[in-house]
Amino acid sequence: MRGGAWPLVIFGSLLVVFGVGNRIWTEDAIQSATYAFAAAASYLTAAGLSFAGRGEPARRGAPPPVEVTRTIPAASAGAVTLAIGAGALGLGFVFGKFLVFGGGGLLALGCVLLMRELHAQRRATVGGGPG
Amino acid sequence: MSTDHKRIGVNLGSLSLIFFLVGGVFALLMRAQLATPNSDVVSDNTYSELFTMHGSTMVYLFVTPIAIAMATYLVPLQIGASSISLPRVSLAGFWVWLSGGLIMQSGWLTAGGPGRDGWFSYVPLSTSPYTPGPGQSLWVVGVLLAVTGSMLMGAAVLVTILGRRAPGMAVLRMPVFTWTALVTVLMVVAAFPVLLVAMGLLLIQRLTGADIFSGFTGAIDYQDLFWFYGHPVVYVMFFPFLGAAAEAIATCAHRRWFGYHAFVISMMAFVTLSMSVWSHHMYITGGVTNQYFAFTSTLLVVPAGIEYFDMMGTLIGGRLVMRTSMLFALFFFVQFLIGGLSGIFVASPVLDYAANDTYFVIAHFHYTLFAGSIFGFFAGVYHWFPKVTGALLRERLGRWQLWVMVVGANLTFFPMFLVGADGMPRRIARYPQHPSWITDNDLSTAGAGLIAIGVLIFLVNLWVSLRNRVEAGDDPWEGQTLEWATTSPPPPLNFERPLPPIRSFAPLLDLREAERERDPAGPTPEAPR
Repeated sequence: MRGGAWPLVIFGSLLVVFGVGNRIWTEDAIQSATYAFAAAASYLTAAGLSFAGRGEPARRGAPPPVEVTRTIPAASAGAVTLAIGAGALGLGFVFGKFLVFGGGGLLALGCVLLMRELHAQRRATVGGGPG
Repeated sequence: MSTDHKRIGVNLGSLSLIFFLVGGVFALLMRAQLATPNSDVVSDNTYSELFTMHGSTMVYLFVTPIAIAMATYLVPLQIGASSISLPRVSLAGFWVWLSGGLIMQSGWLTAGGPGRDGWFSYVPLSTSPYTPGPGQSLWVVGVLLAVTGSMLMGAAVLVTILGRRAPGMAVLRMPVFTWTALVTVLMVVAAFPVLLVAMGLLLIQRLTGADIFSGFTGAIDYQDLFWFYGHPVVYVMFFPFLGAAAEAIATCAHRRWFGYHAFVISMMAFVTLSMSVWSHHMYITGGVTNQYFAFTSTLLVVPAGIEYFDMMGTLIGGRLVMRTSMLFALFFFVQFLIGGLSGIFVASPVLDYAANDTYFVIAHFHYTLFAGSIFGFFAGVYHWFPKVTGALLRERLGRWQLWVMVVGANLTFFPMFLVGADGMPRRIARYPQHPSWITDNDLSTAGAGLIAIGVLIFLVNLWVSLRNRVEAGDDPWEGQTLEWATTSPPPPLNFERPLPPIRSFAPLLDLREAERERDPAGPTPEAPR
């Protein structure tokens, strides 16, 4: 399976089995819903990983050696700003609008910084920058 | 701001340890209050705040994140990756988690104090009519953010495991610790979002007064959502430390981990079962079908038994070197067994009706989480500290820490079984003049003091070992997995030398065995330091 996602598929399938058992035994809607969510999360993650590796041929085992230039960020001000913005936003829900606005502003700034970082990273990859 | 997984792992681990000390102080205050029946060390209200913040700090801000910190640091190294996948997501997760931790603790600065409804904050008690004030709301926001952060970091580990393995590192050649990290992050992805839903709805109810979790059905729905996260998180706080203990034992026994494939199968069964037992926390509510959850809870002994069988199989015939990491790992298995066996008692609805909300349950989960997981954590610390810092921890201090903590943990938690079986309820600041309760509580308080001394010895060991360094070298223990094939500490992109061929889950042991086959008179394993 692409990306070695089979543990996720097995996990999701076992959850389906236990979820069905739970449904037969308990008929509890919220319990069935939580099982269904967990199984769906496993399958969707497996599908997402397979989709992300769609350029690779289907194969068994480990990923092949990477021959393309890969850029790895050393730091990310955008990610930190985004996270602190989320924290300020959360605090604002309890303590007041000014923190909601401040947190929202930081979130927006974080998004802009992240987009700039991703753009710079893409340019470095295309230009064969530091790998 | 570094996106290096090693920096994120060390930062997360260090801050988690600080939260561990904070949670430990809360525990000591509680034990001081309970040393005598009608003590006035703290008020009833403060006692409620202390047990809430002790549990919340330990679960959301220490054990879960430190498990993820170990995975974030070690997994890329163990699978031969140069970096973690989604590094920005991991970094953002760290900061979101830290924001959550600080917001949760900031409740102490409010006039009404922090959250005081327990680490699961059942409704309707945790709704604003019953617990007014910003402290409980800050607790909810803190949990939301801390769990979101843990989830983001866990997702980065998952994508790394599945997409960044070195050539040759098939899924069934991943080291034991990486497997335990994988099943851990499977639960993070599948169970943690459900808690976010529960906490989000609780926050809306608190802030707007909306009637979301109302009446008996609402209370049961909240518990269902909470425990769908709340039980798997117990295993999030267990599996990585099982992996750490297994790596320490295999390395110190100079053997590969016994029954690898059975271990993998049992982990898959274990992780699914651990997501299928949550309502055993709700037997007494009358709102769940007890038979199903008693059945799944009892089934847990099967994969757990396989782990013990593997551990015994690894030890038998091994050339054992009793380092501190090995001793912590062995005590992890022994003490967790007490927690596990008492778990069989409370997995039975009939027995749980009697034990629920007594100190018996407190003893059970502290044997699993403290006497178990924390000992596994220290096994990992003593095993991997040389890799992370390049310096060795002092073995003599390590052994002092071990024995003080073994005595302390058992002295603290075993008497809780006795007072629990005798009917002493949990979460009470004062208790009646019952002769055996006084003795047992005194023993527990003394044990808690010993645990604190054990932790202090560990901090001294850290200080001494980092100030007067004894250089470890790249592979001081004859390690078996790829992290020991790089420098200590590892360079920014993890590996500067080519990786050895990967033909099993213990590639360095393969090399060593091939070398011994060629030269049987070669060097023997090193003596204990």
